[in-house]
Amino acid sequence: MPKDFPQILIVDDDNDCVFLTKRALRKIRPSCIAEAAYDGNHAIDLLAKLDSLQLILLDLKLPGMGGIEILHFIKKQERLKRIPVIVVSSSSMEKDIQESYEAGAAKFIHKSLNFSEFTKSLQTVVDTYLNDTIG
Amino acid sequence: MKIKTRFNITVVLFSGIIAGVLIFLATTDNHVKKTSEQDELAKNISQGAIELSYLANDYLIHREDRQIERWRASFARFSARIAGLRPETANEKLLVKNMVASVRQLEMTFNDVLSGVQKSRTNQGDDYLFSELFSVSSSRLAVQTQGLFSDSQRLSRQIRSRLDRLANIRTFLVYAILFLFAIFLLANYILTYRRTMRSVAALRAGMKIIGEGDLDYKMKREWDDELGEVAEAVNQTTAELKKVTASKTELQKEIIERKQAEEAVRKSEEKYRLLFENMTEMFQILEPIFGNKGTATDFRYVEINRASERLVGKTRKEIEGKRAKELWGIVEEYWLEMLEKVLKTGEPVHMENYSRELNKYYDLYAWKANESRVAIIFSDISERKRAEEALRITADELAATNKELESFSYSVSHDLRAPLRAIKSFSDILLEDYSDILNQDGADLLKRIGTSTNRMSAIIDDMLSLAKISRESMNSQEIDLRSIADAVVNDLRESEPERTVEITIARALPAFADARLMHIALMNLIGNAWKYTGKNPTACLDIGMMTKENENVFFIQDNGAGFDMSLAHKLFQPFHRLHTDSQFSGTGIGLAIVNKIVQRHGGRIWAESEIGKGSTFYFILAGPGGSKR
Repeated sequence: MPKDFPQILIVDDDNDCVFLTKRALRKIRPSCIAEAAYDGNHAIDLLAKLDSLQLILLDLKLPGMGGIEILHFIKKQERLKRIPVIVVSSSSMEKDIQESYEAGAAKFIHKSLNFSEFTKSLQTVVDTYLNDTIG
Repeated sequence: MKIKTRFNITVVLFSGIIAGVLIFLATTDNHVKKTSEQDELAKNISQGAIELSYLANDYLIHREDRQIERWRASFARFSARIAGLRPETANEKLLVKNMVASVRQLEMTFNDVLSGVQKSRTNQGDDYLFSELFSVSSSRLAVQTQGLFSDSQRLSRQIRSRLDRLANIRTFLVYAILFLFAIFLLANYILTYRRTMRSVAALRAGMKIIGEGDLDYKMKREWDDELGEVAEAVNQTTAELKKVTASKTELQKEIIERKQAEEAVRKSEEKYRLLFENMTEMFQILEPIFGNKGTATDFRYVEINRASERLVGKTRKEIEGKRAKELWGIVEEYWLEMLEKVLKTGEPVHMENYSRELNKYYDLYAWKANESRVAIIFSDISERKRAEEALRITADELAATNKELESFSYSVSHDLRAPLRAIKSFSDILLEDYSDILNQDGADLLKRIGTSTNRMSAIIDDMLSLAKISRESMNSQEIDLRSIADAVVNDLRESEPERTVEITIARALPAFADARLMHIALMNLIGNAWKYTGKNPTACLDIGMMTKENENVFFIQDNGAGFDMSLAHKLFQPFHRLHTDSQFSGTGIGLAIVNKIVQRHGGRIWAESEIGKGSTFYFILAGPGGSKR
């Protein structure tokens, strides 16, 4: 895996969702490498492996370990705690948004029904948090 | 002047006069006695003079010495009598003086006779001489004694006349005094009698008036005497009597009142007794028993009613007077604490109690009956308790169901939305990335997929929010719906700036409600009005409030499409629409949400409409305390 390419971890159990996110990211920033984890344990494994991870896109509703728990785990790791975590959820419940920010999420974005809208919000996040080494 | 004073004066005067008369009589009597003695003396002197004359003659005849002694003895008595005379008048004094001189001469004459007799004895036989002497002396003696005799006789007469005069004066004076005294008595009698009689008559008349009941009558004080005082006393007594009579009336009134009160108490007691006996609730009067430490250790049943007998399953005889520990073996601590608290604080206690023996729940009300007793009414609330228990179970089940529903809703929002989103996104990608190879029909179909997924998403959202409205906690307070309506209207204007809608909002719309929920409700109601006037170029909205039967009725009126009133009953049911989506888009959830919100505020909502003319939605919110949640 080329070291210099920025790595993005997508944590989501829904294949379609991962597919759409990856597609959107490819559109926004073709140079970045998006990895996907389908549950908590998988995510933890990948977090240990990925060495140039720059952004984490985290869903809340996951089988087994939930998104908030993964967020807590990340924030406890000295190596990982500075990596921005963006919570991407279909939920619009105030409770979920609040919990996410409390756990240390950098931003909360809604899984919009409209693909171009979703791409737009993802674009903002990537522009803000991704260190663009290649362009 | 008082009668007593007059009486005293009369007595003093009377006594004085009597004393005066007595003294006068006594003194004059003494005087008369002394004068009579003098008279007696004068008479004795007369006899003495005769006796002296006889004795001298006797001596002259017999010339015996023994006769001299007798004469001298007689003379001595005679002289003493004369010396005893106490002449008073001038005549008497003169007479006595003469008599004293005569006595002296008589003694001298007798002495001369004696010396003559001596001479003749020495010259014995000189009878001549003696006869001479005898005749001279005897005549001299006779003259002298005669003189004395007549003097004493005259004196006696004088004294006796004086005595008569004295007696006359005495008699006169006595009569005069008695006469004056009689006049005084008569005058006194007449005066006293008249005054007394007049006063007595006035008193009698007054008494008669008072006796007839006029206690206000005042006696006149005729005189300043005892009867006047009596009148005064009667006046005072009448006044006192009046007071007493008044208080007597009051007393009678009081007695009547007391009797009435006693009767009321008796009736009340009877009522209480009836109530006590016939009430279906247990009624017991208990007496806590205090231990050495001053805390209640047991209690005694003082009185129980019939309901208690029935429910406890023991007769009154078995219970009354018995200690709880005697009866039941054990008394629960909290029960004793409750009794002690009621007795010590005097504050009633209201609590629920479960009796294991009877398997019953009681709502008991205990209060202090007197210093040592506590009265308790037990209402059997077992039924209610069981119903409550059932209700609690149902509520728990409901809560569990709600929780399930919540997680279901969450799943729906997430799980349904995810594939929906995928469909929508994929069709979006197709439209965007493959437009060059899609013909018009294909693109149209993909757009239709997009619209359908949008609708389905809207339905899911509304479903979720409807579920949320029922679950969410409420925080009602005094709010003004106007500010909410303003905000909603602003949002609408911003969303469709090209529309011109005339909106009137009342100046104040005070309500007691949850602001967040009311925002959702008004958003739907005003949003509907906005939506259904969309085809009216002169759209008009009126948001206001009116008062009907003391209730604030809020309304939102529009001049939009309106609806068929015969279908009004379906208006507030979820997913029921009165218009097709092609006419006006919507999910059919909005009014169901509004209805739910109004219901949660304890209010109600209804609508009036006419097709083509517009609709008016009315709602009422219950005030504070009136809401059923």
